[in-house]
Amino acid sequence: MSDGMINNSETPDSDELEALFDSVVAANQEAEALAHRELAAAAPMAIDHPPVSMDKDLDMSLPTSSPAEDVDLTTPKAPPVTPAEQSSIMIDQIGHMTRKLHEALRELGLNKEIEKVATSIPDARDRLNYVATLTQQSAERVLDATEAAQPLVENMEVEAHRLSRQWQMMFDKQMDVEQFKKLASRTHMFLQDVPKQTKATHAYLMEIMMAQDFQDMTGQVIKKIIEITENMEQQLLALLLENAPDKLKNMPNSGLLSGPAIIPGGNKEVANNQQRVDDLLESLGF
Amino acid sequence: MGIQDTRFLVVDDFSTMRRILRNLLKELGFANVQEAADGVVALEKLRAQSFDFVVSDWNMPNMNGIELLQAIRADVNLKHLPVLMVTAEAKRENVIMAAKAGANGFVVKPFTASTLDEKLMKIFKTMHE
Repeated sequence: MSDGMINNSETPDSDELEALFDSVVAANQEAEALAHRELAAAAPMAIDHPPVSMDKDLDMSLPTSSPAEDVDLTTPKAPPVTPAEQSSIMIDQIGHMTRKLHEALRELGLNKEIEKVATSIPDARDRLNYVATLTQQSAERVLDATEAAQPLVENMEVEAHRLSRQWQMMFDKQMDVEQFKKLASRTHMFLQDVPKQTKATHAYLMEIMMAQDFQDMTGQVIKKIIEITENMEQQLLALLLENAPDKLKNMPNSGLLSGPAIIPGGNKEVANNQQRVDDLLESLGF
Repeated sequence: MGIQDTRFLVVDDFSTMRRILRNLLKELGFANVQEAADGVVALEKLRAQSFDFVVSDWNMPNMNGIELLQAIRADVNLKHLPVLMVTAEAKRENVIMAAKAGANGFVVKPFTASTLDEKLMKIFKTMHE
């Protein structure tokens, strides 16, 4: 993944990297003479996973004391547009849910799982900040290049129109010899200048193209965040299901799992979970 | 065969990056470029058609760039192919792993057209020595 991009402090600069690469290649070539095949086979598989620190104390991120604290935890998340009444009901509900979750957590010993999820949130935030920065930089690069290229194109257009009008005058025989000489020389200058201008414009177009490289890197980061979010969802779902009344747990949904119906373009598992959660929340009075 | 006739295979799971690489290669005078979305597709193409140069991303689904590189080096018909890694994996251990697996060059994303040109030329130079 693109952790290297985020933890810039850990990333050596490219000259250093190149020297390192060359030295390893050189060492490699020597070793190759001795044991070429063994080396290739022994090279370890790729992909490392981002370091997610597990050593944080759970109590730091998940308050376990009074319900009031739990409400405080969730208050800032309430959308500001919601009318006051509605939001107070919602906060109340979230508070209830949080309390239930905490109780269930303790009962079920799921603290470790939730801890993992909680520690992954700052990581996701950093990654999103990185996406915001990269996309902004790219947008600025594109706008800069566009603004720089526009006058070049406009000037060529204006000059071409002017020369064209004068040539028309010439064809209409409204031009004396002196004027024609000027026109010829001016046209020659213009023709000499056009390739320079188009070359410069081309360079700006390349710049605009290169600015799109953010998509590759932000795409990787976004994929990672989707993973984290899915993980969070799964943990919370597991908790809710564990916490559900027995009657509900044994409800019809297991039938759906083995059924052939697959929601077009959708994830069967997710849709199924959605249904179970909806039922659950309903039964719990939410 | 002239250097401009080099048949490139660009391997990256992001289509925007493949297009950027294709355009950059065109800008550098290389018009013969094909694309693959991951190592598995790349390996299929490499075995079905003739290529002279592989430019590959590292982090891809199904088969990543290092696995592709190892597969190329392990294949009698492909092992001579130059492979340039173009990747955001810029940590020391990544560079060492790529070099050990037999990569011919390593370009760190984000990169410029001139960086790509420089690395390509360096590889062409060693190839013709």
